[in-house]
Amino acid sequence: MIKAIIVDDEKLARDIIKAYLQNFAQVELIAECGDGFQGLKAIQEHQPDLLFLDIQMPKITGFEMLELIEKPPVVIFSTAFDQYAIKAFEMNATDYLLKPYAEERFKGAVQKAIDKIQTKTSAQKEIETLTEKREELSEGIDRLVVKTGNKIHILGLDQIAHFEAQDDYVAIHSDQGKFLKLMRMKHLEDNLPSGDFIRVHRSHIVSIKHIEKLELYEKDSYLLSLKTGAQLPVSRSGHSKLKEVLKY
Amino acid sequence: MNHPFLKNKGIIFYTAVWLFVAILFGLSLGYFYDFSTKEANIDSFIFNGTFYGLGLAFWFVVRYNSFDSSQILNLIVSHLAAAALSVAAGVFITITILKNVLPQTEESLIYLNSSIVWRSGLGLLYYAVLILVYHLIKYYDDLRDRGQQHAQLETMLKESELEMLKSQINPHFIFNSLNSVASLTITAPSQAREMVVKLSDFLRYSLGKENHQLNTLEEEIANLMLYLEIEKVRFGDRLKVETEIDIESLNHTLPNLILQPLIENAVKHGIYESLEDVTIRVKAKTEKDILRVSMTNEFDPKAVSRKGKGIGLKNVRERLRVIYGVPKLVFTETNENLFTVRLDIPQPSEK
Repeated sequence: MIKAIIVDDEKLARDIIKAYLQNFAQVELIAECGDGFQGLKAIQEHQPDLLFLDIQMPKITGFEMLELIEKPPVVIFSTAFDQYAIKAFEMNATDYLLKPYAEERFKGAVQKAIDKIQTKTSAQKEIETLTEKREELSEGIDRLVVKTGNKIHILGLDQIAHFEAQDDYVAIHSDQGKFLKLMRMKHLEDNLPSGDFIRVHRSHIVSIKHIEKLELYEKDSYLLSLKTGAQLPVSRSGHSKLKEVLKY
Repeated sequence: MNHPFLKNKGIIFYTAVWLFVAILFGLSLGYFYDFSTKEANIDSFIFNGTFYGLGLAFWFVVRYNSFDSSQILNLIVSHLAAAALSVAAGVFITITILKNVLPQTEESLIYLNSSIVWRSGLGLLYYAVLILVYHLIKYYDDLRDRGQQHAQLETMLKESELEMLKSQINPHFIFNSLNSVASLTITAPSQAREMVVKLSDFLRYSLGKENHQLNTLEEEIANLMLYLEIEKVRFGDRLKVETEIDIESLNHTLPNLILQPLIENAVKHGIYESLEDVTIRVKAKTEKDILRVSMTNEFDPKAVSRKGKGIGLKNVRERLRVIYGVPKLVFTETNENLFTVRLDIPQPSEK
């Protein structure tokens, strides 16, 4: 039996998926969720094999929700936004339903998903490339969604003082505390607004607004103090970037 | 505009006409003065050659004088000055050169002195003809340019109307609504029919109007309510609407669909971004020939908003500015978790 969950903020949109799913005896709908938070909870609780996911939803988007799941199921997106559709196909999403969609189209998508689940193609890998590709394609970051335990935090960029590389993770130092998120520094460097953040070191990206002072530490080596009290090393190239931005 | 005879093959045509004139001139000299062919040719070549050169310069008299009735005096004065100067210069140059080139006899000196009068007359004629030709060329060019500009303007206007339409009705609203209809056909077919009718009414009103049209508040509010009813089908009880509209305001006018981006904003920041119930309040009243329409929605002040905010509002502001010529007709206010936007629409004063 394949376990499925629907996450969509419109009841009628969930209803039609539910109705179409009745033709698939091997798929069991175990939960319906109206937003990303409920979706996360249900996924943790039920560990579904298949996820129907809307993108534009209150609070956190479908993409942001997916980023927070450690072992994501096979995903079929369903949305009215075709600008994401083009991206999703480039990302090898299992399928992408553009609302409104024909029942035949839906059947095809579910069949594809079932085949994938039964042949045990690593869904994990699929999603990894999916979220990774999304990072490459994204046109700038304007906020970050992180999870600690069961709590989800949405961090505005102005709340973030600095980022610190920690192996495969990045530690985000913000007003709301310190959070770890699986991502690469390069991705942050490329997609954060360049007027607001600088990579001052291989392991550090700082918010320009949060800079307190820059001091000479040893010969040729600088130390950056932030308003939060944090002190960060500055590399040679980081120093020249700082010089350019701060114009001193 | 470039010189018409110096671009493309203009110079060939210009030279050919002058060659023809020069030949005629030479033949006439031989006829009237009993010149030798050689002398007639020399005279013709120098006189016409001088005006050939000057003629090219006449273009600039036309080029930098607009043919405009308010400046007709200006035009006449500048042409008279240019004609006198250039003819005098042309004749002077010709005589000076000819004095050195022609055999220096008493006869030829008398001939040259006596020729000043008719040379000046002929020079004026050359000037007049060339100016006429230049004016015609300029007029034709202007006409063609204007035609092109007009066509360009027309396409720009159409594009902007289309953009405006797109910004007024969110296509995702339409597709999501159609998806709701598809869903309702399974669970509640009668509601589906109702929804299709509402959606059709809404689209008929929204797509059937000219962008610059003024509609009554009554029509615009009715369309707004239609939109909200469709959204209610999508979001159910979560969306609540309260209205407070003065009856005498209903006949007052406002630009076509000007409220649509505002209500979409209210729904977007209220319903789309919220998990709770949301109330949208629409108020309208008229004070001193100004129709004030305001819209208030609840929002989550702690929400970390995403991009794409304020474009709808900016368009509304810009449209009102263009239509009424008054810079500030849109006012916004944020009060804790309430966002209010108000439009002040001037009404033609009733007499």
